[in-house]
Amino acid sequence: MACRWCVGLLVGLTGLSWSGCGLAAPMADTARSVGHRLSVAVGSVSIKEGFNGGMVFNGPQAVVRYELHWAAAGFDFSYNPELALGLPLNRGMAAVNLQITPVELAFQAPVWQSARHRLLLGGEVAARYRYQEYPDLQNAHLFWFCEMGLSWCLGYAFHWQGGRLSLQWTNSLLGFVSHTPDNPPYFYSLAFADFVVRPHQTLQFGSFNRYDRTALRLEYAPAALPTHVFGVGLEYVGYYGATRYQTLNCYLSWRKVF
Amino acid sequence: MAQGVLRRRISRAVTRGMACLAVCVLMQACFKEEALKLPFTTYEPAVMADGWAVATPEAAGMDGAALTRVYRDFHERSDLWQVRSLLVFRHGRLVAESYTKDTADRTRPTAVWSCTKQVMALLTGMALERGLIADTADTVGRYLPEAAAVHPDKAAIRIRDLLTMRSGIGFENGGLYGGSNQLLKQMPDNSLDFVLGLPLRHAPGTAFHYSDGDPQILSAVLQAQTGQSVRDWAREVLFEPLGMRHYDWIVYRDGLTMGAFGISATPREMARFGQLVLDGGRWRGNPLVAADWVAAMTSPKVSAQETAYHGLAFGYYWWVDEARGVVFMHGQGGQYVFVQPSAGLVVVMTAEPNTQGTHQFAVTTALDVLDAVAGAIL
Repeated sequence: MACRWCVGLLVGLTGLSWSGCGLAAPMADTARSVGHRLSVAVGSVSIKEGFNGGMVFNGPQAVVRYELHWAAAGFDFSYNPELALGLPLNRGMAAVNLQITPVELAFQAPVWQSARHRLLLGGEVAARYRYQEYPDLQNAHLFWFCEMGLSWCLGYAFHWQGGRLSLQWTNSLLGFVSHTPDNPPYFYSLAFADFVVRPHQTLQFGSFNRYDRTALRLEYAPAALPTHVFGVGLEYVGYYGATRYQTLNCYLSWRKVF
Repeated sequence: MAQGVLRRRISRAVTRGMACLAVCVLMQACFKEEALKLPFTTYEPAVMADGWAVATPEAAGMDGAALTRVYRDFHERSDLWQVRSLLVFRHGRLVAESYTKDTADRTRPTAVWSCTKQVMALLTGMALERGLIADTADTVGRYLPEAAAVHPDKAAIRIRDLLTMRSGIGFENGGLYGGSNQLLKQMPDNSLDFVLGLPLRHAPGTAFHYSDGDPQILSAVLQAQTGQSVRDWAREVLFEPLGMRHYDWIVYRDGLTMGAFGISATPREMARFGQLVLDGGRWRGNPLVAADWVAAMTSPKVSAQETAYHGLAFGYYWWVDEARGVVFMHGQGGQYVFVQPSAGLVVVMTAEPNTQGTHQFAVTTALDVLDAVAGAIL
């Protein structure tokens, strides 16, 4: 709840309203086009893994994201794989956080637009994998959270002082999620199957009763640098199963449009 | 003019960026850490039908107020964030008991790691008494002839070398590629072959090297001599006679019971081993382990100088604090069963099982807590 409040505050501080969010979207292009984008983001990650007895690991995280866009008649499709690596800490104990998004397929369409404003609505299908290691606390045992689901996206973009400002909001709707079901103390494995097979073996269907992913991103493309986009964003993920898992990423990003 | 506009724009952008960062920091604060320990309420033990008689501190000759201070400290010290339980037994009765993380720990087994080694020592004594092992001077080659034929350089390792970590085998517990991690990942097909296949670093019986490999060889010896897994044999000859219910013992994928670690048990169950040793191998008056063996097992075989571990000597897998007159079981993370015969005291402490290095509940700190408990004796 408090996190949601902060999301609101973030929007307020930027001088915008909740009138609209959406995926990363350029202003309307009526012509058919294909574009590539590469984003780099640095920020912080916080992880509250239920198996860690209430501890929160905080630390830096870097994200690399590739975006392949198709735009046609105002409609926008994109494929956005992402890789993030974080090194959060607690009491001097280091952890490793690896986030892999091999699939993120997004679609958006304008629902309202004028010369300066554009409101977009869309959806995305994504498979995201988050792996954690806490060597000082949990030996080499692997923890994961896997999400394969459908989200809605809302975007609002407008020209501002010659540049383009956009606000994007994505929220999970429903899907399949899995989280490390148990933590046997002795034997462990870091085999391929543990990264790929096990997260898929315990998938459970659910919606807000089981998980929530909220991502908010504010971006600005200055007129002087039309192929560069600067942004700030955050992403909250919560899993509400038997052993809860929560993570929060806050970041500053730079994107190069090719 | 243009420069002024640019400056204002940059200033606005920086201000808003700072505001966004401030919100991000605020968001991080939403992820507030929960209290890592329960507040102290009481150390009064629960009465359970598990064979443990309960006594008040006064009836056990202890100062209740002093124990309260010990327990309050145990719950409230922030540097002891890892600890999970503290149980005090005196003259065979449970005097005080508290669980700092979850009261379910009373009946939920957790990993006791290398305390498994001390159980292996008890079982070795039982095997000797039953004639399954003739003498601690016997060699691995006698009991594991096939394995010794494959690894002839290990054939001369004696049972007592295994019990005192003097096999000479270069098995490393630590490190991502250390032997223990390979066993924990169940990488070798055959755990015995894996340990015996490592090179000899010293001649058997000549140098102390704390290792998870030696107890695994001993497990193979016991399995060969009993004709069943050590886990099953232990259940029959030790665990059930002790009245244990809440425990487990993992078996490697080759069928060999893990000798160096692998037991999970509750603190109450672990206390039975301490009480057994305190009573010279008798449990509720019944002899389970030979008193001679208990005495031999808990007397120094490796000097504190040689172990180079906090001034502690080493018996047959049991740690010995000669200055305090304490012998104890000791497992990774901070699992302890202290036995102080002069005070009739058994003290169990457990902690988060998988912490590493300096993040563990250190033995020196645990001994300080033991001193505080012993200080409550009237």
